[in-house]
Amino acid sequence: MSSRLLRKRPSRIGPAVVVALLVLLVAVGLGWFAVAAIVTSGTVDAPLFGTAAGYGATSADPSSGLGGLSALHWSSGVVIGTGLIVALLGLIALLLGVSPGARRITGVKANTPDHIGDLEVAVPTSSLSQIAAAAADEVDGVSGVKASSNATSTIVTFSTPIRDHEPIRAEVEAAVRQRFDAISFDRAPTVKVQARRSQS
Amino acid sequence: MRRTAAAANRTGLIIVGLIALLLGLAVLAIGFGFAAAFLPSLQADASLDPATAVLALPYSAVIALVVAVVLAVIALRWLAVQVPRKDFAKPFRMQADARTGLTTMNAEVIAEAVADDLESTDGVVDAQVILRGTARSPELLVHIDADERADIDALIAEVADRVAGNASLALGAPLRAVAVEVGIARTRSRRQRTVSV
Repeated sequence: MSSRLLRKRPSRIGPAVVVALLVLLVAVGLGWFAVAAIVTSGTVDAPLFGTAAGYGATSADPSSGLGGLSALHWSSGVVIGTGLIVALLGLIALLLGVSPGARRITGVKANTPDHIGDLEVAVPTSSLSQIAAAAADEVDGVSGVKASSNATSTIVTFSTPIRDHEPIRAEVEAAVRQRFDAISFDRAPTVKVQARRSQS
Repeated sequence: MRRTAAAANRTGLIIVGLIALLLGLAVLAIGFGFAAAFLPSLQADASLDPATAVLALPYSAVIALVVAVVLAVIALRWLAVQVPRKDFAKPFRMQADARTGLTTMNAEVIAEAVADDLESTDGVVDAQVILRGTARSPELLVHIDADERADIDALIAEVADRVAGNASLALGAPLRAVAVEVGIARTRSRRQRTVSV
């Protein structure tokens, strides 16, 4: 099969919504100035410049609305600051568009029966964290567990009231590894376990 | 599992990002005096008049209005496609010969039956199923929420062998593709555990 059914990389919905809203904001602002200029002058050949101070503007005052732009020069702080912000936002949007982003799933090997042409199995990274946390939570002496994962590694942080926590840490690491080893990952995530002393 | 506008988002981000980056860099180049070497009229201490003069041309308000409407339409369409879509298959035509009668079946109905079959499997707490493709070449997308202590490999084998087999038997055709996403059902009993991704 040429295209995969499960999405591996983020779809950039958040950044796309933000940029789309910014474009919409620019469109509304531009439309507002344009309508204001047309309504004020009463003709369709009205220029945007000067008479675009908004409804009720009666003169082409260059210091109001977009006319105020002519009072600025290229090296003024406002212009350079605006240029810097626009360039930075553009760079961030470009990088978000180009970079593939973190993988959100880990592939799992499975036998493909005859009635299936192509079988694709995956575990989301959030589920890796839950599997690891569940395995760690079963160890005696563990009072609380946090886990975070990406497609290739899982970090488990557990809290314990025991002062000498190294044996428990080793036991937790073994439990998580054993749980992961029981799943036929394409590439088994590495496991790192950290202990934190909790007040009992 | 649902379809998102990933390609459109990345294309849009690259286009808008490039335009904004080039605009910003151009303003900075003029502001710091780098552009004067190529265009002597663009001195750093010059006013914005050459650029703002465009806005003083006749019909510039109408042109700005048209640009604003086009930008607004693009932005609204871009926002509208952000809602993830299930994109179920169109109703399957199951008959062998249309002259003797039509048999159609909604993909949602089959997906619901497959989800019920999945939820009757040991270790599966919840299941969502999407059916795409055609009656002769169906594609099955499955998301299962498994119990945190379930044998994941055995569960996947059960889904691939029995559940997908039942679906294939019901449809009367092999499944062209099956995708299984295995999530873990949240348990309420262990309050001390938190998970971040």
